[in-house]
Amino acid sequence: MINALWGQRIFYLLISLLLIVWLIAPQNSLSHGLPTPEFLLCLTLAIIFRRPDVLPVILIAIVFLFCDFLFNRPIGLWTVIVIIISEFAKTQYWRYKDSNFITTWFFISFLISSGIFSYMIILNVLLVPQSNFWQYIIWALITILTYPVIFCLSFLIVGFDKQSQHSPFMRKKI
Amino acid sequence: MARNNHEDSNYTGRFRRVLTVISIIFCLILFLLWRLDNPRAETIRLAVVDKFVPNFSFILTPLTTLQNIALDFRSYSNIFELNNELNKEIQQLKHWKEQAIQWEAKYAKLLDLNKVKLDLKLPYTTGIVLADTGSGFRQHVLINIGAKDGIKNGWAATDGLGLVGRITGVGKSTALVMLLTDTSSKVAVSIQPSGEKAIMHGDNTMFPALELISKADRVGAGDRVITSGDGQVFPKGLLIGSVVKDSTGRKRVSLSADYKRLAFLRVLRMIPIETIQESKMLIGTEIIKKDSSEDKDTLND
Repeated sequence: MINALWGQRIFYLLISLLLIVWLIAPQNSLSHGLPTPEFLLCLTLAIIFRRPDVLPVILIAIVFLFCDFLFNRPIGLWTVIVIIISEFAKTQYWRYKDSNFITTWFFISFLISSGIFSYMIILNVLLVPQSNFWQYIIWALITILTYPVIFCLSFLIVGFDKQSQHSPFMRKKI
Repeated sequence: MARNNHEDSNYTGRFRRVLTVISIIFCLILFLLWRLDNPRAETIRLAVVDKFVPNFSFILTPLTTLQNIALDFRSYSNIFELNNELNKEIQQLKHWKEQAIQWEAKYAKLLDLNKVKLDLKLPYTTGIVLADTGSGFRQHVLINIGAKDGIKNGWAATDGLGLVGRITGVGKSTALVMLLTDTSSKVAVSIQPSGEKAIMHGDNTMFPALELISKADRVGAGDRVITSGDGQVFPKGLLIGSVVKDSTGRKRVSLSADYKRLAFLRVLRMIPIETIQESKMLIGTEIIKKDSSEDKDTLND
């Protein structure tokens, strides 16, 4: 059981590394024109809503901090936002574990867009040169639309079986 | 109400919360460092990038090749039309080549007649693009030449045709090039043929906007945009692109450099321009004397 968990973690790291390398590969036709969807955030949230015990906060922090460094983003800010979103998602997991995909997707859309807009607002408050508001809206929309695709990818990592009963995230209603 | 009923989960829960808070604080400190002491944070970033990205090259190279093949496949579909067009263009180019050779000879003759001292041509170093920005929000590329090759911050990078951007960070064997489309890129340009000065400001679109044009009505679509050399950031006269108007009538620049396919970048080695500070320096009596004596020598010869 424990070994399987570590296997899934390593697999998550590998897949995110592949995604990062694919994203920074030169002449990536995605990186011009439209903003690139935040694939890694989708993947992280998809896994959290299937198996919240797979991704410890440190793992998420390492992956996203690494992205911040490589993607020339402001270092640390997006990582903080993702950590807050994912930890909040973990506390809400028990509400959504039995609900259908669409309901979860709605909740995840809310999480993604609030994350992106807080990112925009913080950067604007700190007077970092920014692109305009519409590009952020498109970014949020594209990311939300990418989620179902990435959700399918998450089956590769955590498999099809339901959450085990021994997880600390499993709450019982009294 | 919901409650944790596992014995050790209380411990893991607390542990998790402490870890969360620690990592958030750590990242916030990093972010504050980035905001307050940007150059130092960018140095740290480049050290990280310098360490990791060259190691990815074994994945990056096949990926790039695959993407190029995919792009080439798209062009196969209209290869016949392309061929015809190219043949036509070759004809025109031959004509221009002939013209250019004639003009070059004429130009050289005129320069010789006028005894004009030409500027040194800028030497350059060519680098291969290693990596792109992962997100569409900050426009940078990473190239495989760095401090080892004598690259310095602020030097201009072109793709052989037009200006691409400038070096904003130098690692040991990599350097970061900020593209003209980045939101923090501002370049002093001059618009030909009217010679109007303006500022070209990147805004994350493929067409950077022109701002602060002194006489906007003298600038029309299709005019050439070159660097003006003001502020001594870029050398004077590098081609950037041509003026276009967007749907709102705002003037923008269509870049000459092929941003879709940045494979090789030329980094121009810039020699710092001498500044004249004291007026005395201008009237260098000794130099004039020396010059005149040299002139006499040449006359005697």
